[in-house]
Amino acid sequence: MAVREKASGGWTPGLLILLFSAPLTVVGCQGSGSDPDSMGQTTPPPKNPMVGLFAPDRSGPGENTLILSGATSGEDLDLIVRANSVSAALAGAAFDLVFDPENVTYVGYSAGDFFERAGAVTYGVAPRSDRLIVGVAAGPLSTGAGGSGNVVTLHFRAKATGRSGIAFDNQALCSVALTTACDRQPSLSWYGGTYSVS
Amino acid sequence: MSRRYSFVKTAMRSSRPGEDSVLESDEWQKLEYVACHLTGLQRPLWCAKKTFRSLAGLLIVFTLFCVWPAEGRSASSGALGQAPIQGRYAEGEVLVQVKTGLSRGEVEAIFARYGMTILRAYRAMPQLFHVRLPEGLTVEAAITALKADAGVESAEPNDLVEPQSACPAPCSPNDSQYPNQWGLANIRAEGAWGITHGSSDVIVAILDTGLDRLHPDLQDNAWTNPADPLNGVDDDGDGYIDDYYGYDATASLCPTVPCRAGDPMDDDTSVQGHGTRLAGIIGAVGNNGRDIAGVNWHAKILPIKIRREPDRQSSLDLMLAGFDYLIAKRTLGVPISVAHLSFLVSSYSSALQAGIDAVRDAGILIIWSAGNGGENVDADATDFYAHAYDNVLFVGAIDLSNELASFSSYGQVGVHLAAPGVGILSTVRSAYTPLGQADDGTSYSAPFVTGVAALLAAWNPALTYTQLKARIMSATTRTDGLVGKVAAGGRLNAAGVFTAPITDLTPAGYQLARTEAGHRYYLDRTFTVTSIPQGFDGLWWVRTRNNDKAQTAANFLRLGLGQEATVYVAYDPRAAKIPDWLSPAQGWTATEHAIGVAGDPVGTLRLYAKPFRPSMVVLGGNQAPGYVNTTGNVSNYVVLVGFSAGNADTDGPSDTRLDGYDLVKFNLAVGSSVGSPNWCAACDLDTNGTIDALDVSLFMNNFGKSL
Repeated sequence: MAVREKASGGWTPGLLILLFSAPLTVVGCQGSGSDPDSMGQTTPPPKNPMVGLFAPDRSGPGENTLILSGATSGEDLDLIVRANSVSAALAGAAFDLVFDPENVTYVGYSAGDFFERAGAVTYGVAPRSDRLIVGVAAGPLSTGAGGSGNVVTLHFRAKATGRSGIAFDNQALCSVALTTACDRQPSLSWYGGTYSVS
Repeated sequence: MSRRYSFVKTAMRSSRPGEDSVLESDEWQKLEYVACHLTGLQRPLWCAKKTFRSLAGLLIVFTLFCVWPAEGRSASSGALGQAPIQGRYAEGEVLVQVKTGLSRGEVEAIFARYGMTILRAYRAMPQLFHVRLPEGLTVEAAITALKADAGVESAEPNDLVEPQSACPAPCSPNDSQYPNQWGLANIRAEGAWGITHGSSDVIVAILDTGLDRLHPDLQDNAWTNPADPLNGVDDDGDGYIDDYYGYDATASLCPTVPCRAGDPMDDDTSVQGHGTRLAGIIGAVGNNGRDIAGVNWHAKILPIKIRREPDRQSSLDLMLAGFDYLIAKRTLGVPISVAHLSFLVSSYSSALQAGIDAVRDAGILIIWSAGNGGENVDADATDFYAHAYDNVLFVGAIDLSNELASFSSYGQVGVHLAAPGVGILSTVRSAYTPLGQADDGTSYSAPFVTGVAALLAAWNPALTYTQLKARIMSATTRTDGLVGKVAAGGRLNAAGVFTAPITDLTPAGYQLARTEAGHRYYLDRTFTVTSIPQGFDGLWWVRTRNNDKAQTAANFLRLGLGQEATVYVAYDPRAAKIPDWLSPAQGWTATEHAIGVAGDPVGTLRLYAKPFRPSMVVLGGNQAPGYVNTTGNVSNYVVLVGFSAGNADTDGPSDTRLDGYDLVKFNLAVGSSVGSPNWCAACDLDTNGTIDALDVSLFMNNFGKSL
């Protein structure tokens, strides 16, 4: 779980991935073009498209995890919140996704299949300056969702070059067994990632 | 919300020890400890110590199991002579109070000895811990072991606290036919009975065929007048001699002399006593082990007979005579709060209007059936029901599917709300057992509303007829089959009237309705709404009169709010200057929203908004000071009321926003009603006792927002 990793001060998979991804980021920057002014140009050069890379804090799925995985295409970033081998029967997921508004901008979301397998699902996504407030809730008659699947896909677009973390905050998973409260799922871990734009 | 929820949310929010959490660093270590056992020895050095302690704990657990009789592991059985734990409690966890003076490490060591983990430490009660037991260890065994531990002061099960019943005993009355009274369940009578069963100090007058006052299920609730006993003298001096049991305005028509005007016995043969049936629905004695339960178990029924066999016809004269008696008794101080009428009047009558107004001036609310013609009463301007009366609620009928009954008349202006009117059991005349057959009609739907009005009057005798009206209307449960059919777009909700979102409305003739495109927005015009901004449909709507557009009073319209709300005034943009009371200086904001209207040349009415706490909201007249008109006609405003979704924030005072956590909780509660397992009071944004479509609309429109 994320807490243990921070307490230990040891190497985390996420850090390893970041280190591994750093050269890729550098390569990307090297390909971004030369300084037009140095060439004496008087008209603006064509803008080179930004290229993004998302490095998840956790690469493997693991058990009882919710991980952020990213698919990038040019400036577009699709962040998939994926549940992996969840053993509990869940009624919903609630979290904030914190991002750097200088780096990316939120575009929209797509439904996932994780909760939808258990019936009708309500999605709430409210963009705020530096975060999305997200809720994904199964219906009142749902028997709960478990196993693996995509909870929701959140679409972003690169805004400026740079690198920033995208992290979960205020996260909670709610057990369908408790109908009046979200039950803490201590064995579930959440993993964010880092987005680099060059 | 409970501390438990707060803990959960906070713990999940924290990303590292010491940050915004009730958990101290050592508590985080405990979470790690749990995780260590759950996930295996991923960090050998750190987990090794834990594992050693864990093994020691497991050894103790194993020992406990070895000495424990198998039957003693059941949660419901006693153990080692210990008395069985009474009540229900959470399996796998206990509450432990350790001795004072122990260090945190010593406390941890105690629990570690038994393989237990701390689920929660309480800041204000540092010796108290909520502890999870290792798998296989029963609560009884754990308590026994802990109590024997020198470091433990006490240990007890984590008793499950039952939600307080909304209906104190007796909740479900023992009347023999109660299970067959579907209408009572439909209106959520038990929720209301949790607050009041009624009072014999509240008197309901029924103007109909009289009352079989000898019916065993009614006789205790039959009104009598001790001020005018049967002695041939008008003892109370109201002009009616010996009106001990009520009043029979038809006595002069009695074919078999003598008929006494003071004994309005029910003589109806067509349905075994129409008036007696009405009386049973309203106020049959409840929980007396027989027949039916009335909506109101104790209200006194005052029969005023204005219909007589052979054909049960009445006349305007008999109705007015009945009103005359009603007002006379009220003038004498008899606490008549509600009058009931269940018969059809076809055409508007100014004479009848005068009688209704006189009843209004006496402070009495009239509940009146909408009629069984199955017609739209709004369609004919000459119809009796097409006129707005200050103190009348007209009631249509629904069937068991919550659809408007096929026979029920309707009208988005002329009929206020609906209640059960198909297959309604009640008391019948001269046939005390077995119970009379069920019958259909708006005659039988209206008495449900009358009974609820009497419950409200018992709950608060000071409520005026405008307050009774507003509470009954605004508490209705929005019902798909009634949208566009009745003003409330919903059905009676007995449980919701005590916490109704709107508690009063004057001028008395103004009408509460639900906003829907296509509906009329004035009482005195047929102009219709063509468009409503997204999220505004289904809000409460105050239908005003366009003829009131010349009102200049600074205090004209009064709207009682039972909870926080945003009030929207839809004002004619043709005014060169809005009145001062609607200005930004008074806290009003001109929104970007408008409602589209047809019929009125203005085309749109602009929405001005202002949030209010629960209070009496006072709005000025359309042409109050500050108003300037340079363009000719300016239509009157109408009012919309949107209730805040801020109070649906369920995760405690530390978080005042509607977030994903609230959404999940809210979604679990959708469709639930007071008392049902998934009930969430904070989610009931319109406080009608049901988490319904309007609540969903309000919630989703406010998702992500903070108070």
